[in-house]
Amino acid sequence: MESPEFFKHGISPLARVGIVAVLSIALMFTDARFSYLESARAAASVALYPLEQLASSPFRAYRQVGGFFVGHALLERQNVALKKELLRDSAQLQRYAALEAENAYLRRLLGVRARQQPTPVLADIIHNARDPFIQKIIVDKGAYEHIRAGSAVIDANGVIGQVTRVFPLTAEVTLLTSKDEAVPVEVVRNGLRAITMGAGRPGEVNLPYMPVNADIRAGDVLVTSGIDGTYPAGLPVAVVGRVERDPTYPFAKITCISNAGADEHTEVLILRGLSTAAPAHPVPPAGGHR
Amino acid sequence: MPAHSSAELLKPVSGRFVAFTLIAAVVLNLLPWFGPARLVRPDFVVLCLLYWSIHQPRKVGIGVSWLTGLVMDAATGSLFGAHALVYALVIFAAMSWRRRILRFSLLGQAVHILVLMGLLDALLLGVQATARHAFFAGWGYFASAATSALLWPVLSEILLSVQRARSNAETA
Repeated sequence: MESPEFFKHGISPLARVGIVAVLSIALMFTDARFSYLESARAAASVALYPLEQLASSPFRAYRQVGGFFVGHALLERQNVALKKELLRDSAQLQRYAALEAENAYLRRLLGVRARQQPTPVLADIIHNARDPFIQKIIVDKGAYEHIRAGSAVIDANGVIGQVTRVFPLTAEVTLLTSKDEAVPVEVVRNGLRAITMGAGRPGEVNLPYMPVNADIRAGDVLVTSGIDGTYPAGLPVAVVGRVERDPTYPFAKITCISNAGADEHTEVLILRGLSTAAPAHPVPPAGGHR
Repeated sequence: MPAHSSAELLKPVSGRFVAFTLIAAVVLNLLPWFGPARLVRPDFVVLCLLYWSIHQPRKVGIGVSWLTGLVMDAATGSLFGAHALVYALVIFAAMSWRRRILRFSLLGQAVHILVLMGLLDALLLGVQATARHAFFAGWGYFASAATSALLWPVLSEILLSVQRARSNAETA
């Protein structure tokens, strides 16, 4: 029986949900396994850029206008404090420069390749995800500023994470607290090398696969070891928070508190130009098949 | 008391206005939130989709919600299709519940919205957990559902008043 024109609404909602569910699952599978959708993502990021700028414009305006209306006394006090800090830091910087020159000289003597110096780029965080388990932020510098995927991202307190996707105008930074993010570190106290893995919770990383008798204590400072060629050596990463040693397990359970507070800051530094250190995939030796 | 009396006849809303509110909601969702406030961050896009799919199901339905979800996937850098799937499912639930929801006052509706937003958060967590390594990070995660539900009466009042004003302007 033909239903009258008035009742025709196209396919039923249930069928629609079924169709979009299948489409979504196909999309998720494609996105997770292959990289066909990267160009679509880049296009979407460019299309969203004006909206993101619009969303963050009140904050930028507030910061600029708020900066204009600060008191004279406050500025003077800050100025004095900053001058003191500058004096102290410049003394340290001179020592650092001397040490660096000496280090470069010694490295040349030893025939070790010189360490590369990355150029930092200041970027604004323009967007962070609503879901706390997406440990990612979007910053306002992209391929036009020669940001490359893999660049390390730091703030005043230490490493934040790594650029994972680069779009023309923006870039996606995966935080080191993300579940699939690893950073090679060493303990400042004794030079013990380890790898931090994100815990998936804000501000928390783990040190997995450390033997029960590893010389790690609560309060130990972890800095990047620089052996991966992604993160320059010596950047603070985390402080060891809790060490649980259970002799029935082969590994100690070590929880660390990440230094970088991407939740509190609005600006980060991207260290670009440090990704030529190691080949991306190890090349198998010739005649590998036996 | 229902949110708007059945004697009141509202003109069907224009597609342009719906699109404008959706874009505004996306902009609101793109606002960066910092610190502990992130836990209570509402999802304006879903609120807006819920409003239109409950009040104007012919204008905004599963297809529009799915496409909006794709936009949010691109914006948040999550897996393509994750938000889209969850948005479509929640809007489907809302649409099959809409006649019941519309019979309640705005506060009564907010309770229904709380349930729907809780469903949204749970589904989103489930989808992300199966696809990658996300996991349950405490009940605080569901706090955003409460904020969204609290915003429902405000949003409804604003959008209803705009619709009323437009209807009156056209009949006058």
